[in-house]
Amino acid sequence: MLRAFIQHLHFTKTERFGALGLAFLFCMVYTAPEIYHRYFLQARKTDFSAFQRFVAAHAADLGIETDSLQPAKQAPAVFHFDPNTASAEDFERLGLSEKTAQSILHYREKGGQFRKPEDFQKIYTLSIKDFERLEPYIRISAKQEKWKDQEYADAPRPAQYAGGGYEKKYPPRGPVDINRSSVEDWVKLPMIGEKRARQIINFRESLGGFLSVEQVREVFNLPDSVYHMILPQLVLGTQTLHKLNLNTASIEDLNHHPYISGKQAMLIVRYREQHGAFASVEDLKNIIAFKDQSWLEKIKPYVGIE
Amino acid sequence: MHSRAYPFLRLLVPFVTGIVLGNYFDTPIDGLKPILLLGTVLMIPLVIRTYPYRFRWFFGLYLSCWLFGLGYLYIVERDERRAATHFSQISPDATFFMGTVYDAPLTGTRIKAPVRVELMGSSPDCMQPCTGNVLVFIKPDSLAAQLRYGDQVLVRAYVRGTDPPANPHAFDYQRYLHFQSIHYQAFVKKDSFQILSSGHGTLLWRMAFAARDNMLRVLGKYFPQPDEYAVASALLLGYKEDLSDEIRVAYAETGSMHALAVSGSHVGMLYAGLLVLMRVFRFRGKKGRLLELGLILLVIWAFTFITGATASVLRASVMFSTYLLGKAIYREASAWNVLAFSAFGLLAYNPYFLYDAGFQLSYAAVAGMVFFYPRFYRVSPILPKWADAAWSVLLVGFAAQLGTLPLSLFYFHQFPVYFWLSGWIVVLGGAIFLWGGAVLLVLDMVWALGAKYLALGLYYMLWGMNQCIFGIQALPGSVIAGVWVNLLEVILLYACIVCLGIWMVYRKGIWIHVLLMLGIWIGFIRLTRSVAQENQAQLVLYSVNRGRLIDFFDGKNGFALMDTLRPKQIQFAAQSHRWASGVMQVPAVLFPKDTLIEQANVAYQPPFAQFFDKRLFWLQPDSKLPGGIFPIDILVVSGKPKTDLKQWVAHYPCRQVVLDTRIAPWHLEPLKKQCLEMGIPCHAIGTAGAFHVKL
Repeated sequence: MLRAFIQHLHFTKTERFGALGLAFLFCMVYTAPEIYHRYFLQARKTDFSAFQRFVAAHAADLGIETDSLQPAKQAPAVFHFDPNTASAEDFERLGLSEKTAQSILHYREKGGQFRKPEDFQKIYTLSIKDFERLEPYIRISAKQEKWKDQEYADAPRPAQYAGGGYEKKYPPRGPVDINRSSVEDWVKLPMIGEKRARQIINFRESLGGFLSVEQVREVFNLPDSVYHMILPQLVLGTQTLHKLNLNTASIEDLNHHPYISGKQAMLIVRYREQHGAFASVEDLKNIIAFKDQSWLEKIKPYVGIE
Repeated sequence: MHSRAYPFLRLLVPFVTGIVLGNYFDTPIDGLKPILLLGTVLMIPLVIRTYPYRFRWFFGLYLSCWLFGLGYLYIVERDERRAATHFSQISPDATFFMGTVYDAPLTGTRIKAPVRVELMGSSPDCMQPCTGNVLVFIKPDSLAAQLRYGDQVLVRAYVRGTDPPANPHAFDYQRYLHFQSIHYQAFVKKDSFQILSSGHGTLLWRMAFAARDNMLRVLGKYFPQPDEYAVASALLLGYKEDLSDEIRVAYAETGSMHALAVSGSHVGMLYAGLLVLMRVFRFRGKKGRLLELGLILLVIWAFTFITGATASVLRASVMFSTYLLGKAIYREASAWNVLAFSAFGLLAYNPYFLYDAGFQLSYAAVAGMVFFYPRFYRVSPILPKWADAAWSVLLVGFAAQLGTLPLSLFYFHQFPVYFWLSGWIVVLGGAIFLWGGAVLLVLDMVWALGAKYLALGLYYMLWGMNQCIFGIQALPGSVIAGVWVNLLEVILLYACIVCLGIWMVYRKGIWIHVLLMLGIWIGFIRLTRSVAQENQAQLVLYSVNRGRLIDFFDGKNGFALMDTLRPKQIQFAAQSHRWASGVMQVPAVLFPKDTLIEQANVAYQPPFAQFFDKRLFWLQPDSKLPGGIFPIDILVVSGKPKTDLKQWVAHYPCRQVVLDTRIAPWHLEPLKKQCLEMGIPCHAIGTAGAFHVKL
């Protein structure tokens, strides 16, 4: 067998030379790409100074862009004003846009009233920033309010405007434990029908339990006036929070929580996929997009890692 | 090696050539059918008459031409769309159809069920009979989960053609489906379909799928861990749906994926085990031998159907059956002849098998083993019995690798360096598990306690096997990835392997010379490609669902800009193209980053980028109009702009507009129209696929 094997490996002299030559060629062809890369390839370099100028010019342009495209505005002035009587020009001088001024006038035309400075927030187009800036300057004349009181003396009135027939119509029905109460308990309260009661309970369930009475205010579609009306009768009983498990909850589960948006849910799950399980709730801070400290504090009681 | 010793090989070659050319030209030839019929009739006198010695080749040539024509006709006629009764020719705009699920539905993010359409129309009341297949995608819910083979369903959905690949060099799902005879798809909304009745389809298949589901359930009972359950169901039943990506990658990178797809080796192990079993029963005489043969064939074919009758198992079963039948009539059948016969039979059953990667790989592997293994073994040293067995497994692995190497490079672009190491584990583990699993499935019905302990043993074996595979994968340099070969290179590589084979038979030095010359040719192809790649400048905006992924190829250096994407999305969209372009490493930068990035030929400062002399601008919904005019080259619209596109183009005069996948499909048309009015070419990635520029 060994002899056959040796015979098998025998090459004649011409064959040997042929094989050698071809082997050389073979090596050359296969090392050529490396040689080309090392000695013949011309490095290319683009000059980016024009691009940098382009970006710089652009950035400067972006800076002045808001002024150049919109009609010139005067620097906003501040003065005391009554939102119930001030004119459109007054509002614009205060630094509000024409659109906002118009919507304030419109609100008044329809019978809208500002009874206290906070009511100015009701204007949908008014930004929070503008409101905070203007709030100290709002002066509402008392006359306005008196007139209102007479006009609507008979109507059911929120608790804080005492004096109407409210107490008689809606006698207090005993405290309601916001974490335990059922639909039946809620409907006993004034202005709460079966639908609102369900909404509150649904909100509680998706939230995982209330931590404070204040949170009832966040129920979608629950008017502030109703909230204030029922507030005195709400008590916070024992809390048994249902926590979401950050390490197992799916995007849908997370998003179902009222404090977590779809995007935030996706970011949490992506983080988990990329970095492994959360070691503690504090790890949420590592997600760069979650910069909002108050939001983190808000959701912290509702998430766990077990 | 004489071709007359292998009659079926001689028949196979013209038939396959006909199929390949038919698939390539894909045009029906008028009158080919009657010519072939006439040819059959004319063959009778040609068979009977004797030929003078000078014309002895005549009949062979005639038969070859006839087979060539047959192969051509066969694959061209196979296309379901050519049928006059196909639904695309009867009711093109129909939204309702009724049909039968003709294969087991696949689960995943969407349930995929192939449906053979029987009736189609614009409302359930007026439907016309027609033919054709539709791949139905359904969101998984309780109703969709009930869908089984043989269910008759009524569906309301738009039926549209399958999608071409969205990215350059990406996996061509359309082509894959074409070879499954599927050319249309329908995305079904919840509540838009109902199961009318079940129990249609072939009884045989229904039983097979029911048996498979039952066995999967039994396996699920004994193997609660998902990884072990997935490997168990793949090893035993070829059910690969539950394999996790990690397991898939580990098995692929160690070259042992074939063990998870039930293949010829399984049928071989089954046969070897059955032979041992039969020895216990001691069948004697002619009748006994026939009984034995019948039993073995029954088991093998039951196994084939339960595992879903994939090309590789079908091939193995056909081959083993032929071999056994040949032996039964006292004729030692040649392996090559049996191989050719099974290929001929399978291609006659379905010519599309020829384009199935599994079919090609398994024939290549068996051919390699049949040819090289005995020649390797002949020159190997004499060893003790146990070492000989291990050595044989190693040699078989090498022989199979020689047969499949060019194809696996072509399909998977990687070479598992330690295939010989994992081979031992997989062969041993596979054999034990196949028979252990079979015993388990029987024991489950008879003796629950025994089944429990057997399952425990098998579980630890599987766990050990998985750990070994992961260990091999973790070895340094375990896989050579990113090897890109084209079709010509595959052919040349096979020519090299054939030269090696010829040299081993005839021992003429000239064949080594030819082999080296072919090697030089391949080297030359690779050299020219490499030089072209060193000087390339490519810009690719890939099509990724609701995300952005942009590659800049500067020579063989890559740079990517992207949104936060899952690694799988990046792999699916870009990996093949990167490898095909010779770019191995692509550092990536996430989009919303404010720092200036500058490389040799790429600069990025959001929302702008420059690549060589091409300037890009990403227009996002929150972008603000600038005061001046800034000429750019490519305007990428990323999300529907809040202001008119024309206004933007006025400020950013450009030569090309690209609409990316962040724009909802219904917003595309108005934007395209605006571009048309401005006379600027517009490319919508969502509908037209990736935007690809070579500078």
